[in-house]
Amino acid sequence: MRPDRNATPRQARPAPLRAGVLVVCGVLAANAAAALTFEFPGPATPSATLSITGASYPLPTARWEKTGLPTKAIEGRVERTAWHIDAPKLTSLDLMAPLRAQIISAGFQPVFECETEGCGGFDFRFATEVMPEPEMHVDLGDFRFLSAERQGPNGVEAIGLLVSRSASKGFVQVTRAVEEQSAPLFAATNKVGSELAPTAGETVTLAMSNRPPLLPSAQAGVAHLVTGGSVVLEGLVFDTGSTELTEGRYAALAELAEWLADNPDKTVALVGHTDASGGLEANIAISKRRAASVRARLIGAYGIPAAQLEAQGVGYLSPIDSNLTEEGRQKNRRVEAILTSTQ
Amino acid sequence: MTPQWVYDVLEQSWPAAGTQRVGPWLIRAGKGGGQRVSAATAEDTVGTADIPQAEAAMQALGQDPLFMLRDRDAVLDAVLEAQGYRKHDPVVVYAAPTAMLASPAPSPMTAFPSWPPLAIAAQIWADAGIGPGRIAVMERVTGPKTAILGRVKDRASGVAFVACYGETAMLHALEVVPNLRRQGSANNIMRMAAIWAQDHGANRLCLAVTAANTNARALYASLGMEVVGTYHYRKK
Repeated sequence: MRPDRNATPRQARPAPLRAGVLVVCGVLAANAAAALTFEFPGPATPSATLSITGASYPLPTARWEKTGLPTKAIEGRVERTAWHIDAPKLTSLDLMAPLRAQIISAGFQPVFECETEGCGGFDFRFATEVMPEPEMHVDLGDFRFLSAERQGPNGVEAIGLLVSRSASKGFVQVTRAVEEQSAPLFAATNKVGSELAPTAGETVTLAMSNRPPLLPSAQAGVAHLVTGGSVVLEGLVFDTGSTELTEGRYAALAELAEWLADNPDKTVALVGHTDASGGLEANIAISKRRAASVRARLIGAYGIPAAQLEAQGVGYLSPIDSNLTEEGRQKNRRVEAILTSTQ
Repeated sequence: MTPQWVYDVLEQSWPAAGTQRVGPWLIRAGKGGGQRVSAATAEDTVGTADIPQAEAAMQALGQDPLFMLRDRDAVLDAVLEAQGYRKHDPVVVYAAPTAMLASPAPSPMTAFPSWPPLAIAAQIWADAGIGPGRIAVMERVTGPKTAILGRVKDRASGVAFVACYGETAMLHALEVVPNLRRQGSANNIMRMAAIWAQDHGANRLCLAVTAANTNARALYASLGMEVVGTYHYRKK
């Protein structure tokens, strides 16, 4: 059970573990980047997948230091999958060695590789992006990480591979980020319209960075619900440590309520968002409860029919600003109203 | 596998009244300070033949034999099981970076640190069964330490003890007054504990909780804390 302290990966241990299970990983939908096929050292089951476009993956490039984890941002499409490898007594090396070999043979160059304390131990674990338990499990006494990149057709493709194990299973998390310099996906889906479209040639910036200009601002008000599809409900205050909307009158809610009353045939989804502190599941739960609290206020205090409103939450998955600064995190903690009527 | 700093901070942030080496054993005198400070641990290779020595040493202190089993104690765990010792109170240790827990900061006056603890803090502990034996443990801690008092609606709503060892702070004895629960008090105390710990040079905050305490575990998970270690006890 003692982790191997060799920093240099060597060949995986032979025989019983090499069950040779072929699994297709990282099908980057409708994209030029080819799927990667991994052979895991045991029966593998994907436990969760997350795919985001217009995202940024901070690819670790060196060990954690007091000043933080050195990373390089890969902006484009980010996909993350966690796998459970159903084989007991695997060490992190047993998992890493064969996967590393496959990544290298797919044309990737290692950027940074490390083991447990060499990565920065506890601090690395919390500084890098890890799917929540039970999807991914990181044993702080035995984990390994590899970042690698290759030149793809549209730009850099990067892989972050994190492996660890429990007493009974191996855990593998593969993050794949593909730079996309092609279609302005985000701008298109959000119907930003001509007033925000930059001069030709700069669309890339808009498409890549999921930033406020793409989202309705306070000035746009509830009108943006119709023209842009959604509106951030500005100025909401939640009780500290709670998901309850603090008592008080909110201009944004009054305006939305008036619009809903004037348009009884229209339906709206209230969508809660959080900053990226903490696990995804917990954040989704919090964001959903905050949205539910806003919905309850609209129903209770403004008399909006319940059927016109639904409450959802997406946790930290759709930021409008950087989670690296308090200002950005504050902006990311928000509730949006989205018009869900299709006619 | 539990990193060594988890066991180190446990030992230093909630210390036994006294310790003695008896052969391969570390025997702790708990004096009412709780299970962990009354348990024996193996500091060297032990086998079946060594068990009576530990039992006798604990009985001499007036304590029922109690063993703490860490990750490295798998052999001892099996030996004790074979001798009829039952597994008792599996514990999980949660941790998160203080910087992560410290933000967002709790609203002003919802939680604040003070040492020695205010009388009201001691009262909340006493009402929750955290009596003089455990207060004495807190007084024994030599490093930076504090109590964090939580407030809800102008009333003292909860309290916890935090102590630093090196770059790690550990929170103990978190109690929220029963009729003031579910109002964010524990959350505020945790965040203030992280702010205090950060101010005292700790970059991570951890705490131990009985594995069966699902409510508390849900709270810690919701704060983004992760399980970093485990241990359990065996007793007859």
